[in-house]
Amino acid sequence: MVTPTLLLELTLVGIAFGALYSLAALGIVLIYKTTGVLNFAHGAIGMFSTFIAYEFGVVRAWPAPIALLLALLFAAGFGWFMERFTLRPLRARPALTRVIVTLGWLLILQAVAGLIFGDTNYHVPLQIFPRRGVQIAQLTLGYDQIANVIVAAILAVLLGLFLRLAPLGIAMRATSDNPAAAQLLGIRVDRVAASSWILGSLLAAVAGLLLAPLVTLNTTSLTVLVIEAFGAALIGGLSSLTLTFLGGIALGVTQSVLVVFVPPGAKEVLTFAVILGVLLLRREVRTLAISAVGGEGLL
Amino acid sequence: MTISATRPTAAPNRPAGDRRLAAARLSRNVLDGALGLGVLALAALAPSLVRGYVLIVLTLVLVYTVALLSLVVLTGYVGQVSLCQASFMGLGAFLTAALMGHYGISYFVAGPIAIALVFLAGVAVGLPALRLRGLTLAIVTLSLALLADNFLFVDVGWLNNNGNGWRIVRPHVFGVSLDRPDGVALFRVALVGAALAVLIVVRLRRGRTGKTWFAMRDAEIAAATSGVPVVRMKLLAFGVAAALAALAGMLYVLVLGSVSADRFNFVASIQLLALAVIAGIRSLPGVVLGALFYIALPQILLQFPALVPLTSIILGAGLIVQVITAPQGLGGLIEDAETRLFRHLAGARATSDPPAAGPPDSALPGSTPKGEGHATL
Repeated sequence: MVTPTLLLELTLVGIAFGALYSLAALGIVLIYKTTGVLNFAHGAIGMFSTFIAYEFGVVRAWPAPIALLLALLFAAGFGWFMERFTLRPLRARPALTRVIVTLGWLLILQAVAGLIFGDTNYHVPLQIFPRRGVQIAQLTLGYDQIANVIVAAILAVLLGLFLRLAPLGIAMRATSDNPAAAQLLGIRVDRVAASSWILGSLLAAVAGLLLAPLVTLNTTSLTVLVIEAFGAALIGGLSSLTLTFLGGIALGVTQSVLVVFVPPGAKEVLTFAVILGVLLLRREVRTLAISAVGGEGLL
Repeated sequence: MTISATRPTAAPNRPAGDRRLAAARLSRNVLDGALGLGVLALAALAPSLVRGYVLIVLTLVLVYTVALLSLVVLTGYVGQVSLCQASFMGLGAFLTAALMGHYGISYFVAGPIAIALVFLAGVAVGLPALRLRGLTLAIVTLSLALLADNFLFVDVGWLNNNGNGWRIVRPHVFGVSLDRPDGVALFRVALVGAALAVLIVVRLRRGRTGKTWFAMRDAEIAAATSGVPVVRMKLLAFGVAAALAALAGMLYVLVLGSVSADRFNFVASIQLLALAVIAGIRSLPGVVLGALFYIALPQILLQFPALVPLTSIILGAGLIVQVITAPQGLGGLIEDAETRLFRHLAGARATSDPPAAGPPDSALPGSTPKGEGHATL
């Protein structure tokens, strides 16, 4: 029975998911705009980080903050490593070649996670925020879902401020606009690339850590988060962070509401349709992106 | 090399070096033909050398050779990547089985219909993605692979026999049942299928289509300016790749006698791409070796179930190392040796390849664009 209350509840759940898609998508856009690499391993990095938190926080029962810190450290370190040793040497090569490298990392991360943590569906993810529900009028919402939205919004705003105000953030925008000119102006493009990868990977990790309690934690579920993130990023024209964020939320809400009408697997059909739709309407999307942020730059 | 590939080869009044080069090309074609015949003869002899399990493994190698050939066309010739070739393969397998199961038609009727349907599906999916330059096809195909994993092969009852998968009744060929346990007839059918795929790919590569593809891959804008219908040619490549993958799926369902979704997930698709790149996306010997590796390694690893993820790790690491160090792939190395041999034979200085820095949108692996002169396939 589809009641307005149910639809509203599903919408709110959708926002909780969508905010995390947005977070992951922001990382993709940041990396793409500053280094030109479409990171297919983005979800896999988030997945592996989440498993590190699981390993230390749940299996070894270390205090949660330490487990989280280790997970974030891994993400940052791995993002740096990937850029420094496997993508920087290929900077002059075609975009396709560099995408292939990220696909290689996807395979490795997923297989190594399977080897270390087990290729099963029985992992209990580290619950960062309490699952307990809070009753608002007739709606039940988990604290974790509310926290997801708040964390995602705060991080998105911080990222926006960082790109506008911090010297490194401004250097990132300059590099994304024109790498050659940025380099001539004395910006160390290598350092900008490494920082983008670190920041982007951290966003993937946070998205994975927050999403894990809401899905079945296995080596696949978070790895394929990358496609929802791509969907959101494409809505933002792979450029606008604002539209990317809204796009992620829109995707999450539609997926969530759709489960009333169709089998759960059909959410992939929706993501696919969104991606195709965005590509078909790319001119309109681009115009929208430009008018939303008043330019084509990374903001 | 694009320019030289589109230039007529047998123009009169050519300098001696060019004539020698043409002679070298001819002898290379002869050698390629001989190599092909040799492989064919060896393959035809295989059933009298090995039987049973080993022969089934070799049959699967043929099936995956066809699947990898689909990426030879798409990635090697056109410079696009697909992350859903295993899904197309699965779709071919499921459609073949479903058509047989629902309508009681023969395997040899159902298979081609399945291939045609997958071709159309490929074109339909490729159309929006390929109108744009860049990497959109990679994103769209990954999304399609996930759609197949989570919906098409799972929730569509018509396709997967309401979740039960299919068992097919193997047909008779010339009065011989393909169900015979020694697997010889099965091997021969797969061999014919693989030979057909090779033939199609070679024809496409050497004809006008192939030249147009190379021209697009190496300099898309220049090709478009010269009147190449870029989008249509890319679509054709994607459709052909999808159809070849479906042919592999059609053969797969025959060899296994059954079909279920687990071999065709998105990881398998990425593994196929990795394999194609490592094995050298433009060379037939590399592709066969790649298929052999892909089938044999899991068979060996099955003795140690905990180590099965090693396939992915080896492929992933191999891919990264490959892309960074030896951009032409294993097959490229074979091809290079061949090239050197022929340069020596031709005494030609004229064959010099352009330096290794490809244009930004050239094919993967991006360096050393290759034209018609490198006819390994």
